[in-house]
Amino acid sequence: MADTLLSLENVYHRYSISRDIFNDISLNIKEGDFYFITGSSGAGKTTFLKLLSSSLRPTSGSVLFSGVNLNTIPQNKIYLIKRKIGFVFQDFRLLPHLTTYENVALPLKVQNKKEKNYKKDVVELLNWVNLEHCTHSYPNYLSGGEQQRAAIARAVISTPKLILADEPTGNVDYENSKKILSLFSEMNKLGTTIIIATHDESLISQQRASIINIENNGIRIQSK
Amino acid sequence: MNIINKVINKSEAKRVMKQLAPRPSSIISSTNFHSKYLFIVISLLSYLITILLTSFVILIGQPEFSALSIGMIQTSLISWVTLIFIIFIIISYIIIYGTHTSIIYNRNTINLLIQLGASNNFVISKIVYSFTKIGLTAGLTGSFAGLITIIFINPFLLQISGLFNNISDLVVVSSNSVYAQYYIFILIPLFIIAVCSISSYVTVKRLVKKYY
Repeated sequence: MADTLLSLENVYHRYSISRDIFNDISLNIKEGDFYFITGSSGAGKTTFLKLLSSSLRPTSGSVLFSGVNLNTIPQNKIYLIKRKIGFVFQDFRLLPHLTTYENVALPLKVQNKKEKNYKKDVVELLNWVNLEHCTHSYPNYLSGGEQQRAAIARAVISTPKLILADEPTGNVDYENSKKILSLFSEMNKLGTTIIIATHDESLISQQRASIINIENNGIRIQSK
Repeated sequence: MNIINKVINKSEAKRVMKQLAPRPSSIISSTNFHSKYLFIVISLLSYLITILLTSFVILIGQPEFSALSIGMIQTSLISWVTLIFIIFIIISYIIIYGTHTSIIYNRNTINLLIQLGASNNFVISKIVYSFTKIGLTAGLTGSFAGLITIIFINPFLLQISGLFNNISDLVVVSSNSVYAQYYIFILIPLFIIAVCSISSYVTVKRLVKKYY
């Protein structure tokens, strides 16, 4: 029986007095789970991911990551939790003045790790995402699919327990979507928990995963 | 036409080389428009401080200066110190303004770094480092330019001193004060680095704590 990685207990979140986003939601996510988050635009998919990634604190209720209540962690120590979470953005967010290699190595660099200790891992990871030919290229020279694969490599490099992806296939074509999903699937087989927020029905149909549907300020879970 | 083709080929080769084997980049981009202006302005201020301090050192080394009344000496000392202090305040203000601009310009990078697990201290250190680098290069450039100016002016002053003996002692760089110039050459960049680091550190710490 897998351990619980993430746990939401009676989470309530509002942006303003007139705008509730979540009203008393509770959820348990186990290690090695694969979830899709669906919902209409503005339903709160990104807010949900922000709550899970500790970028946002709920108005009330608690979010527990590996048993640690994120509300109790001081703001200046929250980076320790963020290091255990990989994040993939719709717009890739690769730094344009860094090469693909440097972008992928960035999470390790911010942890002040020595390059000689991770150089081999970065090169291996770039081979895994089929970007070995772009190691020293700047992001502007890469296609959308290549940029997203570089972003996935960056999310994976620090071997996080959890990968959160916000519309990862929103800016790429169908073929690249399939490649990206297969990368997530491979990561999941290795034991990483994956949570993907998406609108893409074709993506959901390709992967056996549970679905969290956000609607009416609450969530509805469809188990796989 | 051959020359033009050669130039084009050379620049193309450079571009390809840059793409294939680029230099390691700093995480916070230092090619922002403001860093160039900061470098120029701080270099000029450093140059001004070098000239002012050198002339001050030369002046106090002259026998005519010690012959002045205590009140005159005090007034001139206070004026000089105040002037130099004001210049350092200006440098500090420019760095504070530059730090604000840098944080606004690099906000996406900073947001990303924080999302990737960077601590506040990591972000602060990267920004302070970029301003310390500007302080170091601008301080050295300005004081070196000041030193060169003094060295080049010296023979002309000596020439003038031959014509106007009365004022010569006041303006000519004597051999004793030449050593003082070298101390100034070392001290000014150090002071400018200290001002740049402290100003940017205080500003960036406050802003990172407030917004991130």
